[in-house]
Amino acid sequence: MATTRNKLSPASLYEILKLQHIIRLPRGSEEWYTAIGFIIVMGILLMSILAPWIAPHDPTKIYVGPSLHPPSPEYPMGTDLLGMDMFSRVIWGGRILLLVALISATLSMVVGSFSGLVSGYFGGAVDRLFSIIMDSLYSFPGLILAIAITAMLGPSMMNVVIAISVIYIPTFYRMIRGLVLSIREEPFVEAAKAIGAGHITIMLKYIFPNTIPNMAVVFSLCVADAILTEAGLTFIGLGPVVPPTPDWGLDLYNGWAILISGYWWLIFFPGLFITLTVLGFALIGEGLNEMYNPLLREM
Amino acid sequence: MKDVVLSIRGLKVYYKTRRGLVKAVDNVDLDVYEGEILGLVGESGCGKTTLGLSIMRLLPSNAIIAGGQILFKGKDILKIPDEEMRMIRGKDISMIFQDPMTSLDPLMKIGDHVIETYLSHMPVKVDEAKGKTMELLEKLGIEKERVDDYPHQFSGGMRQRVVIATAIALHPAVIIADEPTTALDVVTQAQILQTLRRLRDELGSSVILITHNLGIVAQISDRVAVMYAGKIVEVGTVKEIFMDPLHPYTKGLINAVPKVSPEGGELSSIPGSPPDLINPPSGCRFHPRCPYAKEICSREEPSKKIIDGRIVYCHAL
Repeated sequence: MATTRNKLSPASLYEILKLQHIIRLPRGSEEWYTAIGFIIVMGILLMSILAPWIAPHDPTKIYVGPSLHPPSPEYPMGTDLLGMDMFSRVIWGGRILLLVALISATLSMVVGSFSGLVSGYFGGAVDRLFSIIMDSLYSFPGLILAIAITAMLGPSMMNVVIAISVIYIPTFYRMIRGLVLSIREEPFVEAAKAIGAGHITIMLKYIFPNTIPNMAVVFSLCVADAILTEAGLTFIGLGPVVPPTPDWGLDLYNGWAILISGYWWLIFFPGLFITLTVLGFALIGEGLNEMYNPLLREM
Repeated sequence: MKDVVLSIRGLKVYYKTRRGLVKAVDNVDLDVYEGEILGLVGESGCGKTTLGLSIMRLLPSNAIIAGGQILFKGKDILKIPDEEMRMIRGKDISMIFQDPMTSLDPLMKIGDHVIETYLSHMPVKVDEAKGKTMELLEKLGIEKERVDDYPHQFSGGMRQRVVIATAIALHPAVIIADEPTTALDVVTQAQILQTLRRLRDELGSSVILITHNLGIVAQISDRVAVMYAGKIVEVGTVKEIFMDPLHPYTKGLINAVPKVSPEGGELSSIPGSPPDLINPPSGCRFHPRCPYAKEICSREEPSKKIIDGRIVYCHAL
């Protein structure tokens, strides 16, 4: 059983490896960095959820302090041009970003894995059609495609979610399709057919659960990538938010405009949190990947 | 004589390959009687499994059925729609697979495999199906507390019992057992075979036992069909086949069985090797290896001969 799965998995591993440009870590300590990833992600999620209670100031209130005040005990991350408290803005700033990234990665996962399941299981004309569509989507660089879609639909939260999910659908599709192609040849699937199980039962009860471990890996790496894409979109002004909404990507853009004058704290803290969040998800993905794919361990 | 439940007539199953058509099953006639255990024996690659899979209509996608009929309850199951065939699988005809290690889904509980058989064919609730499953597993010697275990917690013999449970849950008329004991040790083998025989006695199902192990066939079969290179060469009762084989190939096969004796003794085999099924030999497919081959054997295919109620395909008789 393991042999057939391993034989065919390079196709799906390729998907994972392609996402691994985000981060590469030494092998053998996967439990550790999965744990660290979970701690980082949990911390940031908690911070975002509890923002209204833990932020010392209203993040959109102007002149809570002097304009462009450097980090100090009173304003730990300084203040911006309009005297808004950067610390409060950073605490609030991940909410929309995370929401958009999680929703779009989930959407991609649902659409991508469903189409991959159908395509890989039935094969034939359906498979060819889906594959052509997915491959053409896949051939675009992610961010460029997202820019094109948002520019076309106009910047709003909904449209950014659509744009980002479209980018990652082929990733899920190709991974699931590859897995299904090998799982459907397993003797237990033949055995299920022999007791008279229908197509839907076989797909959902026998094949789909066997793809979940790989799906968890790709989902986590996709969230990491989606955060970067979303921050990128916001940075160039196509994001889901408008000033003065606190958002790491938006603050990064605002701070970058006046960075030349040496106000480093305006971009350092939002940037740091984007990096931390991406790192957290990537660590989880990478760690899970290591645990579930013994093949990678030897590489 | 009992009634025929399954009747195969002139079945031809070919595989499309890059090198050409592989004639895995070529013009096979076979009857399966009610409540019998029919051993189907032959060397590896002679078409036994293909024959079994065509009865289930679970052939790989590169297989083509080039002709013939498989009559079950008066219907040609090669011609009925897929959905109707699905309802037959598991309910009227079921299959026990060779390797119990891989024929269970590693992520599904033991019980769920059996429950699936009930759910696929009967309007039962999951609880009810689970109750039946526990009863059935108990009958097969697995404690009912273990329905919620996963396959990796089971030994090979126990897994094979679960596979058997899925196959017999609905008391099918025909059970195809494709080398059900190949992956097991001899003691477990004996237990599984006893179970199969007991089930036959209790349920009255017919069992087609596909195997290359003549010892197993001798032990539990009622009748034996011998296959060679995609064709049936001889059909008879166990006693007839083992005590007085007619076909030269059957003779060779029985001589080739190693005997358990402290003296050791000569290992005999049939000279030559099974033919390439893309270009099978003309005439009788066994003639290049046959010690009794005559001129006619390479020219003409032997036709069915009935000698004392036994079926044999040979020119020399």
